[in-house]
Amino acid sequence: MGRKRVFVTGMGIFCPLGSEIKEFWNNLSHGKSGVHHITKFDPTPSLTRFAGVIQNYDPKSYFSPREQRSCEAFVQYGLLAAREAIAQAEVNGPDLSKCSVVVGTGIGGIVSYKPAYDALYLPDKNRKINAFTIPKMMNNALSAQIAIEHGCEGRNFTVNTACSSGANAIGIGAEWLQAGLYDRVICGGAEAPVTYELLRTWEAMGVLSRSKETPERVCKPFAMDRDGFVLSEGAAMIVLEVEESCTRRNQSPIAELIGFASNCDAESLTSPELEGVSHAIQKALKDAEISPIDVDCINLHGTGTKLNDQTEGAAIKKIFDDRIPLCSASKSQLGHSMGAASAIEAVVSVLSIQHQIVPPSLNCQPADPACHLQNLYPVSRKHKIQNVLSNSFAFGGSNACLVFRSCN
Amino acid sequence: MQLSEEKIREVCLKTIARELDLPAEEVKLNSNLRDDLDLTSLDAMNVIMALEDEFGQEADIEQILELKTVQQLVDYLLNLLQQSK
Repeated sequence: MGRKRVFVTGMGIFCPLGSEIKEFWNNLSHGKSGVHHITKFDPTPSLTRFAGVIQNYDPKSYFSPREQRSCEAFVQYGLLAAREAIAQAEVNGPDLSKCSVVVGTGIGGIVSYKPAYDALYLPDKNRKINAFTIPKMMNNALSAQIAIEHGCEGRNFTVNTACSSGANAIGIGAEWLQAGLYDRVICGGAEAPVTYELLRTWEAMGVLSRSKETPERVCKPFAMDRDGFVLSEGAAMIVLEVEESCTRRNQSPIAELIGFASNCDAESLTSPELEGVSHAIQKALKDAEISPIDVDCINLHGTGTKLNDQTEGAAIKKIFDDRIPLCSASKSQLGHSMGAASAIEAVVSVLSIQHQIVPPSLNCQPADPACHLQNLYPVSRKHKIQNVLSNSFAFGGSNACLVFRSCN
Repeated sequence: MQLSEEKIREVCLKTIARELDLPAEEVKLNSNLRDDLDLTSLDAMNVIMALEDEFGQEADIEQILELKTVQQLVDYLLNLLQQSK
């Protein structure tokens, strides 16, 4: 018996370019930037003064005091994205309670550590450790909170493969459905790493952009003068569903998830390897049962770091040779939201199919010839898109690629 | 230092509002801790720790978790502070 076909029936997003899908796509496709000067804390003495930021976020607008007390920002963002995805999929009642949940996060609840450590180590002995510290900082808080809020009693997993966490979560969810274990799964990724402590620790690695240009100009994937990635935050969730369930519920699918591959470079914790990255792309295309020539559009990992972009470009050149399809580098507008990024980019890929548009890639010119990617454009391009490849690579050498197909 | 019932009541109301991030006017003596104020066991831990700091007395978490209203919590604290004299 062959594997079951898996479709996207709902999507939700909460990120610097929008608090719901329609707003997000409008901003993304019109070339808006979600990168801004950091104002919620003083970034000095860091030389990086900007990040992808969800501006004017007020948790009181979305959550009760009790939910605010017990959920860190990454959980709140993920819950908001899940609400929209579930609403779009129109899943409720027993169909919702049988759902499984698998979400990715690279860092999870980092904010609660600081007050707990302050209580332990600062001289003021009157500081107390908040009783919510552990439930707020545990990585599986989001998957659990989605299940609690919506009554989802199926499997409940959290995936951590750093910056490919979201894509791996979506791929793992798809595999559960293909195997016939469940009818539908809520999957995606969330992250809220824009904190002073994380800004400084990422900066210590020398991988953040220190550009002095205006914030919308600093992230430059595949460009000659790129100088690092831009920290960002957000969440994206997808409802995946088997064909039989879509038919029974008379639910029109948005796109089909036809390919997934996940592997490890097994070489370095921090440096991407051409072989591993190439294999991930090739395996995803094989899983989708398509050839490179069938790929109409690639949503690139494209962080804006020297080595990542060069390795991804070389892998694409190796596989697609002189027939590289149109590409988009969404981090140029969004920054890099770690474990959420690949879920957000999966949503971008599906929206590209839905609208038959390759979204813009800002600041990518002049292109670095070492990256072999000359086809990144600063404006949206109308294009016939049947199949989209979405690339995600991560520290730890964890690569994950997804392939989506149009239902038309 | 001897605290009046009024002072204990005032500190108790203020502490609950602060720990639960609620407007002060929402916390009343007849408020039900769980049904009206949405107090969980972890919230109770935070409230107790804060009250222990305020009054310099250790409270019994098991006993406090059985209390239903803010007034009962005030009464419990009054009793606790009187016993410690």
